[in-house]
Amino acid sequence: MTDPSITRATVPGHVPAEAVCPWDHYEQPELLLDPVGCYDEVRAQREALYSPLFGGFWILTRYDDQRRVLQDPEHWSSVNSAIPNRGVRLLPVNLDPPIHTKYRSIVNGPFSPGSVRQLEGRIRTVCRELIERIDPTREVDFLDEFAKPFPATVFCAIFGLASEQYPRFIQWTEQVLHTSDVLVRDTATAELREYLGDLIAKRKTRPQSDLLTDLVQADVEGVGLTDDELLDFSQTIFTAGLDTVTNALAFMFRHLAENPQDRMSLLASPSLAPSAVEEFLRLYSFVQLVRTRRVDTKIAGVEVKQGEMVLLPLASSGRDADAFPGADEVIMERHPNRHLAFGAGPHRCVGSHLARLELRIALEEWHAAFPTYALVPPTGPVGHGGGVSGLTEVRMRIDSA
Amino acid sequence: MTDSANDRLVVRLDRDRCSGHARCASEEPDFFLLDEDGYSDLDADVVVKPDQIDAFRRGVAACPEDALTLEVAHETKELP
Repeated sequence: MTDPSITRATVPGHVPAEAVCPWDHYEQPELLLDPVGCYDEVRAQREALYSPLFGGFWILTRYDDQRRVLQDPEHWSSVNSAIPNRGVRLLPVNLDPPIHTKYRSIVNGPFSPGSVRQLEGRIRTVCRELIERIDPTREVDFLDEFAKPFPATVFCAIFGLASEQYPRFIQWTEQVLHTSDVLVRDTATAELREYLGDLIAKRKTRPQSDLLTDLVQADVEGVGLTDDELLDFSQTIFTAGLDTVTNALAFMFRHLAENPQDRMSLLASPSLAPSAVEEFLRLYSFVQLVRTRRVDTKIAGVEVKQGEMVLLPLASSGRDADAFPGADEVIMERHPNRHLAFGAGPHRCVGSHLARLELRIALEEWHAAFPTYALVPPTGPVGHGGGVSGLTEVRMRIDSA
Repeated sequence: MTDSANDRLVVRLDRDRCSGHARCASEEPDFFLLDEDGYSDLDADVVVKPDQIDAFRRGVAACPEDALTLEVAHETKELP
């Protein structure tokens, strides 16, 4: 049921009647059943839809159109990154070039492929320790026992957080990212910012060897970040770092639990892991990005006016048959695989190399320990929407699979 | 007059389009180098040797931004 508090805008005159569809990218029933596959039918019908919910916004469904928007920040601004708009600014997410480039460069180095490679041993240790704690004789809660603590523990170490508090961090992140309830979202945001503000103050007096200290010591053209900028920046890294790999793990391992032939292929050829990760990212691209048009234009057969927002459900581009032959099949050796799971253009996910490494290590270590596992079918819908869509339940049987 | 024997295959990088996916380097790390931020650091107009064509094709094709292109550079040469 769509929340009655959701504002429904009057549809502007330039929107063709056949494009209008009240799509709720948080709670749409089809999305709760299948957060990524729900866009297949939408895309089959239209390249562009207009949802009158949340004040009104466009949805672009095709790979080419989504990529065009993401690669053109001059005409498609990132000033809003959520529908409905957030009360706070995220850095560098809500900046456009050229100023974006200066802030973004602060985090490029720490998350580069070369920097991330240095962490492989530590990440593998975290992964193995979690797997050793899993009791394969009983039903496994894949999210709580693995998909949440694994990336959260890695992230806490990089960022400079006490990893034993990760359940609280995850709760904040989920409340900030997954709900259209503005009160829940803004309350969690305020709590998180107070917590981060306290940590930032501590790092200023006692620097540590962590990303938070890197931020505190960073400068843009010789000027350090203000306290507000530090909060805006650290909140972005925090929420992005805690939630996304969990969802990628959930989709990937649920697929393998449900499709033994794909799991067998991977077990027979472990060197397929890196390209298998790309294929699962393509098929389950769960992020929904937002851009705002700067000047009137035509795209995907519709007119988008200055100031109108577009939602780009990346799940839809990843499954677009015009961009990917055999788009609905899993082809673990697929090449090329130019999916947009990490976005495109200047805002491409800075954590993508860390995410890829964590996903590959998870495949390798999980399969070394548990080659056979089966999904415990959920009793109801387990999807959730928002800026980062995902699954709220993945339960497995290991021994009896 | 052009002499096709002097045509060379070159790889070009559009630095404005590269956004650091690093898919090229992931495919072919020996041929596609990255800078310390993880963005492509390909020299201008790298000439591809015949035995490297497949590797370069793979790296170029992997780029989600179309920042890399494989092009034939025509060299014009006066015939005597």
